[in-house]
Amino acid sequence: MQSELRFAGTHDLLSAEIGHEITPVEMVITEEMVERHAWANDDYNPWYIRDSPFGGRIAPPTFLSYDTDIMIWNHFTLPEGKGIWAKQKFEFMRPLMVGKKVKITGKIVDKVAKRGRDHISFEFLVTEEDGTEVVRMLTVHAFPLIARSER
Amino acid sequence: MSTKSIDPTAFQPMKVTADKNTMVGFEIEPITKNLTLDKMRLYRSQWSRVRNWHNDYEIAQSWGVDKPLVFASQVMEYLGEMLVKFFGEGYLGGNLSVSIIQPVVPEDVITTKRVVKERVTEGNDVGLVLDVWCENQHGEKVIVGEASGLVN
Repeated sequence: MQSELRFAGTHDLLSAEIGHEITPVEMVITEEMVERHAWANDDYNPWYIRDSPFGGRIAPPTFLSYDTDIMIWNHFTLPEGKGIWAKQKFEFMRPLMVGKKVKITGKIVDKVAKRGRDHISFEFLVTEEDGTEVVRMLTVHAFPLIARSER
Repeated sequence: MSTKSIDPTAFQPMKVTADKNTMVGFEIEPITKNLTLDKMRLYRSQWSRVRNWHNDYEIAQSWGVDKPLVFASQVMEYLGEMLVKFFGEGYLGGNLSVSIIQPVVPEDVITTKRVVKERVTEGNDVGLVLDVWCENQHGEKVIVGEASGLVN
């Protein structure tokens, strides 16, 4: 492993406004990624390992939430005091097909201060190359890690 | 003795899955996971190859926590697994909404829990709404929320 943290983001998150778009990502979910996921989570569903009723191997429905987190920190700098992943919503529309290119777009959709933290909501949409919607996600991160009211 | 060992990587389907007769109050078969640092490091790719507070004690402690914190998404994946096992293809058209209320650390044993709280009928289609949560080995809830899926 490399010895340092690598957050590549350069935009200031706390001053970013609602509607601020995150740099989109295009990716292909590979067989290796899905198999690694199966080993890490002990989830050996044959739909992920061999074949599914959807015409090929698929990835687990929640698979891309990890990637959206990476998207956030490859776009924004981590605020002083760090933060926590507070909430997550998924809307599953289509299966995530292994080997198919998807595009993930995201933006800030809400910012609110409560209980000693700044809560920032990010909305993400996963689409196939023809624009078909696959998964919608909403992620809420709260900053700082230790709530100001608890200091 | 002719007992054969069971492959620990064999798929374990649920004994009872969602159907049109699933009633409110039905408790879905739990799934238990033993979380280890190895599993946390194995989870996904590029990020886990960089030392961070999700996989390294020294960095976690420099951030003010005693142990690395499990990626919240890794714990959510357990609920995703449960959705697929219970609803089958009917997870499409459904959703999952959770709040993370307590950190999860290496050596925690996490169990998913789910109970059917509502049936929604539209024409021939039946949807089930579930209360969902994950507990640690102390019986403390670490993630709570709601999920839904369709019954085929």
